[in-house]
Amino acid sequence: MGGTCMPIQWSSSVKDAIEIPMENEEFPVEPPIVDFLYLNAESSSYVITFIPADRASRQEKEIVQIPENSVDGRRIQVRINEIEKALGGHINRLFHAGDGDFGFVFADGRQKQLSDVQSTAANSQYIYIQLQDLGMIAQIAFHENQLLKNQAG
Amino acid sequence: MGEASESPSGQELLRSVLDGLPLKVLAGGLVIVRRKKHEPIDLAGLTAEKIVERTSKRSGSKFTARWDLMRYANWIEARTGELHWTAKTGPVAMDTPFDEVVGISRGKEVYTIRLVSDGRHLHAYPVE
Repeated sequence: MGGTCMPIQWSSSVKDAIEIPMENEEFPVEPPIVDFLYLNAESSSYVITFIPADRASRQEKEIVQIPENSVDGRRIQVRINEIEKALGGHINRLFHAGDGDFGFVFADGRQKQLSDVQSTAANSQYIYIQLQDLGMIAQIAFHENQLLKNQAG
Repeated sequence: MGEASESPSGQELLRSVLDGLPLKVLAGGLVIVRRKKHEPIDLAGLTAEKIVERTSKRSGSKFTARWDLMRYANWIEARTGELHWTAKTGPVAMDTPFDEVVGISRGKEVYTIRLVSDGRHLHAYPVE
């Protein structure tokens, strides 16, 4: 799959370089961070790609599946419900947009980012707390899976 | 497997896709989604410390400028086909080594791309 060696373009000649929002100083985010979350209807489980804390995994991302009808699944649903109430719409999936920003894709196809949300700081903080908890739920589930694998091995 | 058009309009079309939304839906039911946090950024003028920070886990590793959205989407489609991944495969990840620098992660130039499917959505990013 490799290609030929070409000069690396890192400089200001980067034509398609995107503007990355400045760090969200108000909500400094640290792993575990939800990277991508959606509900898989076929398996009735939440599939969460997350950025683990280094103590949990050195990998940039890990994936866990959490059954919708488990204790953790119900906790996830509660958190999502709270985010939906704050944002005003049914969320189809959510994702990390880098640093302290997150994106939400609604069932009607609309996309909204936390940095764009026209709301009070308290409302944004409330959403952020739910997102932090989702990241923690994912990391704990991942850790438990690792322990079970080690015990089985 | 249809190669996406190299025309400027094709690239512009991909660049108009919002973060987190589909760039392309593949035949096997998987969807390539745009993830801006891994796209090339202008590192000129940044200190080494700042580059480490901007390519950290919390900010996301970054592709080199050679990996524009067209190349990104076409590569994911081709690699997914080679791996025979579909929406029935379930969550899976695969590393692909290159003989050229593909990106920067935690401040280091890296030669490997990790392709990830969560069972429905596909995205890729540079890893050590």
